[in-house]
Amino acid sequence: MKIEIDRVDHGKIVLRMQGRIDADSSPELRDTLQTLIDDTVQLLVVDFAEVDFIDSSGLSALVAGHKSMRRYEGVLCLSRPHPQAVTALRLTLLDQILPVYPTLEAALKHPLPTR
Amino acid sequence: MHAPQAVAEAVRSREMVRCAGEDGVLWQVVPAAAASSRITLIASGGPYTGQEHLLKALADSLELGWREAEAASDLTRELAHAWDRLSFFYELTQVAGDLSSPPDLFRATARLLHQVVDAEDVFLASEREAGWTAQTASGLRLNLPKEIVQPLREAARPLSLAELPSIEDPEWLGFGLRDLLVAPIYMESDFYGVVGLLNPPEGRFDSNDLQLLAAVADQVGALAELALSRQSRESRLRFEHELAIAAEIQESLLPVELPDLAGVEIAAFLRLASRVGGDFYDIARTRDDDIMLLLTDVAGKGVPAALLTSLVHATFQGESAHHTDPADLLEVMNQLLFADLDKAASFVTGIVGRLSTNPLRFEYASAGHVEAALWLAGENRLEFLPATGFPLGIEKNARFETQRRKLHPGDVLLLYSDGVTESEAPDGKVLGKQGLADIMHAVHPAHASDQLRTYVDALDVHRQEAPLRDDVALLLVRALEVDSEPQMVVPFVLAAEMAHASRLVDPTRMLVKELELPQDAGRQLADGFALALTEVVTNQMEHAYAGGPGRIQGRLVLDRNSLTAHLYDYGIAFDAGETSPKNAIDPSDPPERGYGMRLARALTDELIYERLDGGRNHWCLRKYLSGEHRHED
Repeated sequence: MKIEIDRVDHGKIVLRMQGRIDADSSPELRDTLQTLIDDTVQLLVVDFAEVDFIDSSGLSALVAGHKSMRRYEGVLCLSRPHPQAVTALRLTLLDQILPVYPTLEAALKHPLPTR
Repeated sequence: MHAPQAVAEAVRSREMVRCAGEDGVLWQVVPAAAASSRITLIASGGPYTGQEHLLKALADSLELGWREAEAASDLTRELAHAWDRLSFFYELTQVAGDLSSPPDLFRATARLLHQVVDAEDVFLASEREAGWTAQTASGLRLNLPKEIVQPLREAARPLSLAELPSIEDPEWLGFGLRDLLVAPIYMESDFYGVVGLLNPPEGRFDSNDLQLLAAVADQVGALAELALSRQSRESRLRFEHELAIAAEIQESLLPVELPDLAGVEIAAFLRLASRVGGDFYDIARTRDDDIMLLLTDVAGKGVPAALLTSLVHATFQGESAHHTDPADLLEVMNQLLFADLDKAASFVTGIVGRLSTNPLRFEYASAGHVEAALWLAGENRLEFLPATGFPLGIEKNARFETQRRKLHPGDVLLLYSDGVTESEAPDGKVLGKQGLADIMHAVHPAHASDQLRTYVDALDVHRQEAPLRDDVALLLVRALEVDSEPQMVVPFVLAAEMAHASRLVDPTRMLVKELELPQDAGRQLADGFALALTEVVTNQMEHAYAGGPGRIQGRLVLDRNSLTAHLYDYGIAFDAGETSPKNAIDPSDPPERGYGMRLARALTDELIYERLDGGRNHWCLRKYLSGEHRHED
């Protein structure tokens, strides 16, 4: 798994994920999210275009990121998940909690909360 | 005073002397000395007129002139000498670059040194079997007497003849020894050689010569070290090359291809701990079209063991045509090999088997070899086949006994060397018969070569980072099931470490591809099952093994009705209550953990856990193939 951090705009960050997110690699995602998230970040998009597999440990890392963002009144959303990730999100009901977008552009237009 | 006495007196006293000639003429004799102690006399004769001042002044200026001239020529000589010596060291370094041994270097040094030093001959000696010998620059053979070597060894510095005890051998240096300078040469701080100068052109060697010799000794020592390391590198390369050829030869002794025999699959594997080794397997066909199998382990490792394996190979290939009863064959092989094995103080363990069809059976005799394993599919259990005689090379007339087993569909026979069961983990724990049995239990329905690959994987997983210590030989025979449902089996072994957590994703995808489903359907099936599998694997790594070392082994099975996975591990028992919250997720406060088992359950049709005897966990995951999944034959 590789993570590329892209600060696209003021208060907006895109994490471009690459590879497989499993129990071996998810701690890195969890740590990256915890390091990046603070009160200056309003929107964090985790881009799944190049992730072909995610397991529950990866989902857990996303939930932890979601909670941290919510604490700062920001939003964590996902873009371009493969069907495997969509299934995993659906079965865990996390698709009801994490906004999921088919494109990165759409994700970046997610309405920002007023602070 | 007469003239002759006056001259002598003037030379001695270096003072002006007066004398009277025979004719009564008065002479004044004044000496003028040059730096080289040459003395010239200036004399004037005649009536004593008091010209001595003039005479003395003349002598003084003459003396001064001579000294200057001499000094100038000394300087020129010194410069020429220094240049010679500089170029000597330069040439020495140049020449040494092409030399691969210290003796060559010594000869070259003597030749070059002779060109720059004022000595009748030059030598460099080192210790040989015959003593301290050298060839001098002028081609003389020289034996250094102990009166030179011993003081040098003790003094550890250059010595002149005056510092050496007198040499007893009157014959030493037949041409006469006037002076000698010797210096010790050290290589890696060992006293290794002697460099020496024989007889200066005149007089004695001086401190310049001593200095030069000391410098030469240092330089030659350093260059000899270089030459020696180059030599050992070259011989190492040559040895490597020969070893590579030996390895090729040994590999060429292995059967080129494994034979076809109706109703069985055969696979074999050999991995040597070094380039060549003592483990070996061999196959021969009898006149009745039966197959003779051999798996042996020659005691020891490396080249000596490898040489003996070629003997074993030749004997087996030669005798198996005439002796098809395994015990007979071992007895004959033992008799033929006994003398050589006895001489080499070695022995060979091995198992010889005959595979024959109609009905399928395995007859074997084992010469002290580790117990072969036989999986009995019908009884779902493992039988170990013990040795039926001594190792070869122990007793000349050793007797063996042939044992017979029928092979039923699904039975698996595994011949192996002790490198398998004695494979050590970093903590020293061996795989053991139990480890072997566990793997066999998990993977036995797979294709012979896939099973074999899993044993090799299991050895790597078990060994972790520990080095390969022993050769490993495996020979596996699987009796095919007849008229059973076609199925595909992918065996696997995982280390209980997170790096292996999603290792089953790719095999699952590959297996599902065999169904040739429409892309989306295939993808969905593979992804779902792979995720469920990954969740169970991760759960076992995290909870059953709790991060400690361990192994998860099992198989994926695809048949007409379902995609199934069996996983076996030896961690602590699964506690369903602890790891799977069944409550609905509260969107305002989603839990950070506990999605794994929820996913595994949701993605499979059956998810079965059972605790087996002997502290094993068994997980079975199954997904039934729906109509759209089912492959139409």
